[in-house]
Amino acid sequence: MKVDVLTLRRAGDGDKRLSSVAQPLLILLCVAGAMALLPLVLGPYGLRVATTACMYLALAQSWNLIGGYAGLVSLAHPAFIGTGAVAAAICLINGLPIAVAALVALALSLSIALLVGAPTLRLQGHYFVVATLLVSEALRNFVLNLDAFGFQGGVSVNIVSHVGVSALGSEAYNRFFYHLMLGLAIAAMAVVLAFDRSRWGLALRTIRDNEAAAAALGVAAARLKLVVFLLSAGMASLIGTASAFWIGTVETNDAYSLLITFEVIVMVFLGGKGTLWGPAIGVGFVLLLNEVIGVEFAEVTQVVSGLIVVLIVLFQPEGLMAALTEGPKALSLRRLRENVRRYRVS
Amino acid sequence: MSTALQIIFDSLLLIGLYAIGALGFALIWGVLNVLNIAYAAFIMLGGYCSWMLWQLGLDPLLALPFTMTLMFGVGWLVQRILVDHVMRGPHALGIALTYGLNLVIVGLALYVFTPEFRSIVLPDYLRGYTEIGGARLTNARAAVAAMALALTTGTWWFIDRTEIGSAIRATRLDPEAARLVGIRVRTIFNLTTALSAALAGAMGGLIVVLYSATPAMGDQYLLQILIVTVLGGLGSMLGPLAGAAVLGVCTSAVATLWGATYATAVGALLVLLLLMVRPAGLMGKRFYEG
Repeated sequence: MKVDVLTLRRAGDGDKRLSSVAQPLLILLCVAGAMALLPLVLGPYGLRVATTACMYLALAQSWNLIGGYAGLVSLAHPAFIGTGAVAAAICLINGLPIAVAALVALALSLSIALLVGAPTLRLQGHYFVVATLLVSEALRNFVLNLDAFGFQGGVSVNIVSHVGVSALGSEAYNRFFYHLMLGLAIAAMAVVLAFDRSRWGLALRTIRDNEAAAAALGVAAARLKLVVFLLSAGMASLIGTASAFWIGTVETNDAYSLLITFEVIVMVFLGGKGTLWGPAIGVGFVLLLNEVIGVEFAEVTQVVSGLIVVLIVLFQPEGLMAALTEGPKALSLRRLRENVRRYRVS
Repeated sequence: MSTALQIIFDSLLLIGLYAIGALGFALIWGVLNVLNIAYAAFIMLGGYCSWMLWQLGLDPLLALPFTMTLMFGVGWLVQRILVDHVMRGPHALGIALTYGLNLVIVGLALYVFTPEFRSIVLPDYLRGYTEIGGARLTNARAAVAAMALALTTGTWWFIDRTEIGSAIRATRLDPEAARLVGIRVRTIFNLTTALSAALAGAMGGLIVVLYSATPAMGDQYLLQILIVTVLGGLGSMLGPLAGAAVLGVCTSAVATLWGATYATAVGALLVLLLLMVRPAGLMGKRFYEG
């Protein structure tokens, strides 16, 4: 017999559930509206940073679904981001329109996700991490050697002229991509919000925290994990496509770069995995920090972001979100000491 | 015949390196269930340590014991101060912590040593070669293979035949039960990471003999180490050697037949296929299921 997971939730509080969606949605829409007007005040550099921030936010939320809510540290993200970028670029230079190119790339990414998701999601513990990492690396090596459809490890021509918006001036072009990335980021937030407050999200967290118990309650764990994996992969693919169109050049090693995925994971961990607002906080914090340190001190950025990860794991494993939900007492010395001791081997 | 022999000889170097690296990596994964990304930093530190000892006038192979001793201490401290604090948490915490630590150490190395390649001049006795069946076996390759064999044997003896080794095995099976019979679990954890770091140091030291030291040298090998570890499986001291042999021969064969660019892809595919059929690896025993 299948138990409706909805009944796991406090029974009969329909309207409370509604407001728990309506309130964040309202905040989200207000923020989106305000951010849509940002190009009016930002210069070209500011706009580029804002576009990057939106891209990272969308990526962070897509990883948050699989890594935060499902608790599966998937390193297959580069495969989907990269396929989104490369496949769309190949379609574009062969004369397909921009929307068709994005859809073809999406379909390809989803097929890859389906192909690798079904077997890898069965793996336990670190084996899943390693398997997904190898999927990314194998695909990167394969694409690197690909020589077909005018693609040789990269697209030598700038694809901007194929995007179909090149008639726009550079300012309008950047504004177009800012709004596109913003749209993707808001959509990603909305997907996570819908997920967070639905019975699927609840079921997924149950699987994450205790798969045996979830299965005993009748949660179809394997199917749900696969659906989330596909959802997350599809989002990553679309973001990859959009960023390739925005930047205009596609190079395999950059498109399939593990580094971006690691950065995104750091952001999600920092802000608070498995939460709606956590990744947004993480993205803001890390990008702000990068701006403060500046690009000329690359190794300093590396050391600082490493230190942040170490400190957050040791002292606040729930992420900065804890400070938001519990107030300043979450950052009190006593709490930090408790956090350090929580998982320590006795 | 001589081509096949040459492929095997060429791969001896890689097999030796991978086997030593995967041995230490499998140790900490198997016993502590931590996927130690900072292992890359340990390799790098070992490499620079050997390079500095060589600059002081020590023979690069004689420097290995010193490097290993130093890395043993580094591993102990890292486990004691950092990794001990996430042992009972979800395993993503361990990955995140060691990833952050790796960033810090590699970043500091970039600052201290600069990204420049640091190489050592090979001593004369490592330069020659012997010709067997029309294929050349260089002394350096033979030395690395012998070192891998010696370290594997040594680790096997320590884990399988000594009292401390049986304490490590007991802790890996069930930390709570181990505690009940009087094993100091935390000390065992520290010791295991220290051993693992010493092996990483040995790998770094050998890499510096054969190639050169850079801050990113460990990161470059982490993927191969992961492949070898999964191929060989956890829970058997022979696993890393077997996994390294499979990957090493495959890599050399693919590189000779199709070109080196396909080598990683073939290795990764090999692991993915193996995981479908035998989730515990070639020689692995099932310990950690969740």
